[in-house]
Amino acid sequence: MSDYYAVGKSVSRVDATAKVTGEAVYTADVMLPGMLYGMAKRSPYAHARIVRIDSRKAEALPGVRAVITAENVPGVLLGLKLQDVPILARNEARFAGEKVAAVAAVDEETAREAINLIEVEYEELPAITDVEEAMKDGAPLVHDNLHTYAGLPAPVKHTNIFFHETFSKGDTAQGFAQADLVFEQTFTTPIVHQGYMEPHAALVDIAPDGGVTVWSSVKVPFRVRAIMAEIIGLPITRVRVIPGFVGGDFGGKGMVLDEPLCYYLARKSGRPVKMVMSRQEEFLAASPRHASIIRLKAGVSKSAELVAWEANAVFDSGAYAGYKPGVGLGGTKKLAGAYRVPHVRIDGYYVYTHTVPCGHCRAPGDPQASFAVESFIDMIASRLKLDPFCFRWLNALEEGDLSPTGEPWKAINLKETMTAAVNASGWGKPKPRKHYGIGIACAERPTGTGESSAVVIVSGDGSVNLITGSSDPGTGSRTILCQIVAEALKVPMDRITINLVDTDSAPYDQGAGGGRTTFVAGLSAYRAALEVRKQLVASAAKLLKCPQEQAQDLIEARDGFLFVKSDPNKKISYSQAVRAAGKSQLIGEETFSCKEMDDTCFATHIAEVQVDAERGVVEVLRITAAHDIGFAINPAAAEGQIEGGIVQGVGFALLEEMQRAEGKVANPTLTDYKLCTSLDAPEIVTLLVEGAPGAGPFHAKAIGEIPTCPIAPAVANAIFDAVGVRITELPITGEKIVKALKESGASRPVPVAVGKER
Amino acid sequence: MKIPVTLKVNGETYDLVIAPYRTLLDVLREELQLTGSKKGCDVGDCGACTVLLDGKPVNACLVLAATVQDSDILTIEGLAQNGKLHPLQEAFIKEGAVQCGFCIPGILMSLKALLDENPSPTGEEVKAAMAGNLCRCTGYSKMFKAVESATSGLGR
Amino acid sequence: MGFELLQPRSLAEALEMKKSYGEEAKVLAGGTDFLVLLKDQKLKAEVVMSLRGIRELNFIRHEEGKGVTLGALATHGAVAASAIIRQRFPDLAEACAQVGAVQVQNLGTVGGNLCNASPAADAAPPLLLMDASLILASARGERRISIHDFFQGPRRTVLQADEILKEIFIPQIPGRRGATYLKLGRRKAMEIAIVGIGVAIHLNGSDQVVSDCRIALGSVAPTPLRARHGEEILRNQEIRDELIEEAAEVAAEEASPISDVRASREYRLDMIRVLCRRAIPAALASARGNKVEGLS
Repeated sequence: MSDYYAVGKSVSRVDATAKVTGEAVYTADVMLPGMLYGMAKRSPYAHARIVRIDSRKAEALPGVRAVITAENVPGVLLGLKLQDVPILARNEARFAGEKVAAVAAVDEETAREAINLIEVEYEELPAITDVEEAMKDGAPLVHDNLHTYAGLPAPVKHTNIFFHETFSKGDTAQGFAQADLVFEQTFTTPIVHQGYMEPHAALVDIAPDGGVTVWSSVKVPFRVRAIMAEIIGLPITRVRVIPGFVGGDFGGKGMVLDEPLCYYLARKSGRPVKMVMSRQEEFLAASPRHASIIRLKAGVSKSAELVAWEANAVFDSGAYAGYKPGVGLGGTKKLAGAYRVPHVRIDGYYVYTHTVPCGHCRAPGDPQASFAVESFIDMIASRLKLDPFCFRWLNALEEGDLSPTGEPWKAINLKETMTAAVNASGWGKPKPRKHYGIGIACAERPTGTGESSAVVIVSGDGSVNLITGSSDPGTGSRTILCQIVAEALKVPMDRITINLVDTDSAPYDQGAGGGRTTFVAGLSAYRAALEVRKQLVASAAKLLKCPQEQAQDLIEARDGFLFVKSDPNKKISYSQAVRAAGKSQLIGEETFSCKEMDDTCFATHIAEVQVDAERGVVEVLRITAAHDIGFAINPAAAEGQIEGGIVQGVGFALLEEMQRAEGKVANPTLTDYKLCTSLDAPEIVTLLVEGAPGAGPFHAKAIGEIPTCPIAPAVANAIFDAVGVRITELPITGEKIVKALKESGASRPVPVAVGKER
Repeated sequence: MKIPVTLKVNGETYDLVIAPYRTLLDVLREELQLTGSKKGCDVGDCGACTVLLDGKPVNACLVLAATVQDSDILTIEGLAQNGKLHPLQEAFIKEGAVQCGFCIPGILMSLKALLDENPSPTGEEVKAAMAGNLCRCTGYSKMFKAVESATSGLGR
Repeated sequence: MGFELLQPRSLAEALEMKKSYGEEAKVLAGGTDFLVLLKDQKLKAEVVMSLRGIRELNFIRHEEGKGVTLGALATHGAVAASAIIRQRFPDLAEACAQVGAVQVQNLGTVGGNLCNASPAADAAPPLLLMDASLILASARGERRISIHDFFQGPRRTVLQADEILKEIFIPQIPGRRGATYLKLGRRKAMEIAIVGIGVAIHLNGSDQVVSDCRIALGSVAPTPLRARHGEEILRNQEIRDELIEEAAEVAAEEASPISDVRASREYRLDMIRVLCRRAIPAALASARGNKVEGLS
């Protein structure tokens, strides 16, 4: 047991009571007097010229208060980095589901009817929906004016490849020349949806003086404020964003979707306007995970050491790139895994097609990379007749190694997670049944960086407010921040209040995401709390007759009291200390910002499966997940992140796929886009491997994203172990397994590698 | 044309005038301001709108409000009694079974119906009772644990 | 989906309404399919007639020596929980327990499932096995038709504009009956069948010789259907593995599945064979275990 006061404990969430009683207010729950319901008209075509929009019938419908098209909104292009997304399609619709018009009406039914009454004349244009076709010279362009777009990482012209990034170390030509065996394999992953249960919702109210209030379901209220202010042309302080509880994010709630439309509908109608996306719209036009085609090539020595590695990944971005804060995806960098390889070359291509635009999804790019790399590693091990664990162990990064892309990382804890997972699972034990299989996979992902601020106020009665603009999309971060403040001030959790606050009432925060909150928001809260504690101590010192210059060392805090270590019976309450300072409250504040990070996190997952070889049905029996977490501030919350990530990963492995037919999403419902139900969730054994010096408060590392990375390959590897077929295209459906088993003629392993003659 | 409708929700009687096509979910949320029941899909795929109709869990999005005037409707807002949380609510808080919370009202209603009928369910029965309620955050693990904790507290 | 809502309180009232509105009045039972179609704008309705208020249609009635009658409003949940159904028609109980999940089972009705006429209707294969008959009522009177004559195609039935499905009658089947319904989806719940298969085995006296075998298939043709040629192979036979194999093969030949977002035609055909190979022995074992003569 730790000696900590408030951290390291699975305390209940600060918002749990509001959530179990139904009192928690999410954006769609907000109703304003006179509020109108907005709805968007969407293109049915993957690619079309918008010849004419006739909205007269819709406008004439009783109850309709505003209809807007591209003519009624600014021609700006939006984007988190690369700016290419119009508010409404102008002249051209680039994917089936793109918004071409919007209405606001007195109720949802009228809005829907109005949408049906808007007549849009399209001229259907050839659509390029295959990413490899889109990459070819002379392919029809999704964006003719790409070269004029702001935020383009490097100048490119007349191409659908809007970004090509590379990472390299050593010299791969030399490396492959040294290799005794060379292996190659291609993997594919489909578009998958983040699957948050709360669809996007937005509500905009314009005050008579032009001030704008936005309620939004996104997790980045300050980003929404900045984007809205820029579109409208107001100082950011004239836009106030009120976050509701966020009903899940997983990367999908990081960008405005209908907020600008609500604003222009509100402006035209003079009424507040709310838009809530339907589940179908969520599938057609939110910002899901990129489909990928990943080609890997590895050179291995006779002693089974990796000597050279090439990766080539193509990410299908769909029609727009603006939903990605970095234009590229972090996962590209992970395409050589967490292994010691002297010669590495990685190429990542990001390509436009006429399909649903993609964005960030829990560890952007990583699950795709992890599926490819960790499946490939297993295939090589199999070819080398090595145990997959041993082959990994032999090549796993250790303290002092450079990362595959040449970075010095501190505290490389990969092997600790491997050992923990193997010891707690069925690894190496006799198979209990026919068609039972076990598979292993590893992952690495850094702690996120960014900027956050916190204000900690100790009031005259000794109670504490934590004010932060940091969003908690369900991860438990607001609870963790309170624990951090409770630890710094040594006050019980129930003395601390944290409220959902808007952008006028809290200092700037970059927003949740990228595994940054515990680190960045955590450190800002911790330092703000320490700052106010300093003031409390200084004030108490007078009452305790402790010399000021020694007070910070000699005075301790506990349970909301301050005392000199040598005389713990003489206590000053926080309340007395505040009053002794001659103030009604004491305030500590901190803005913490970090741009570079050498702290990363590791994980090893072991999947145990039972395959019904006749039907191809895979039952994931158990996942053993070991995570290098540094320190778990709230172990239950950390486990919750891992368990949720695992079940999401099982979906990625076996169930989830946004199928496309001629560019259109063919299964835009939760009936046919399949998330795991309670009956599909495996048993999960979670192992928190603590002890590494993480960058966050109390050496905490990040845990939000990495749990979903190694699952798919662990499951794929377990399936191979169970029935001897290797599926390289996600999801691993029963149909694919049955087909592969047929083709392989029972349970023989499929040859995957080409041995190189020397 | 709107029609008069009387609904019995959480023990209260509400006289309303609503359009006949409106679902129970929309009426609960927009007319009665009982927004605890969530709209996650509106077509019965996610379970976030689960309420009890005469004690049985149903998708409120698949029920026309005007057709259930003879029924007792219980929503998440009626789960706690006299300011005291239901043992399931207590257990969900204690076991860390709540993350984003959007699915929670529906899941609690499904589980309440289960425990009313079967106070000591097996693990499989719990899973089956929740299978119509999707959760993306928790991986369900801590929810299973919470039900166990709640049922042992119910005096098994 | 603005519409006028009719809420009859009795069957007679409903039939009068149906008489005057005809095709225009769409019938709403549980709503789990109907309202989804309306919301998706795949179905237009000016007038909707909800049957929910007609208490007399919500029952499950057993008459010894005759059979079991399900009122049109008997829900999947009620059928799956019914002791008599579980005991005598386990295939129907299994099918109803595999519709969606609990919430949908509590709303959706077996009658609605049939009238909706989805090729994937879970309740259909077991009722096809039982040679159930349907009582269709109108102000003109009632008619009884075999379930085999009910479906005309996807979402098409023989129901006339003024008719309502009133009851489903499952006749008592002589001898010992064992049956099962196997559903293949990708998840363990909330699924629309990729393939659904019902198999019933009847024994009369001997434990070895099958007096009758019935195979029904769902999701593999425009309507749920009986695989009569497959059945023929096992009828009056002593069941051996080769015969099961052959029956499974032949049953697959009787299907005409399509490829869609849920599965390919090839996989569906494979799965008919696999599920038949599993369901036939299961049904046989259940029949052998069913020692009470005259059950069902």
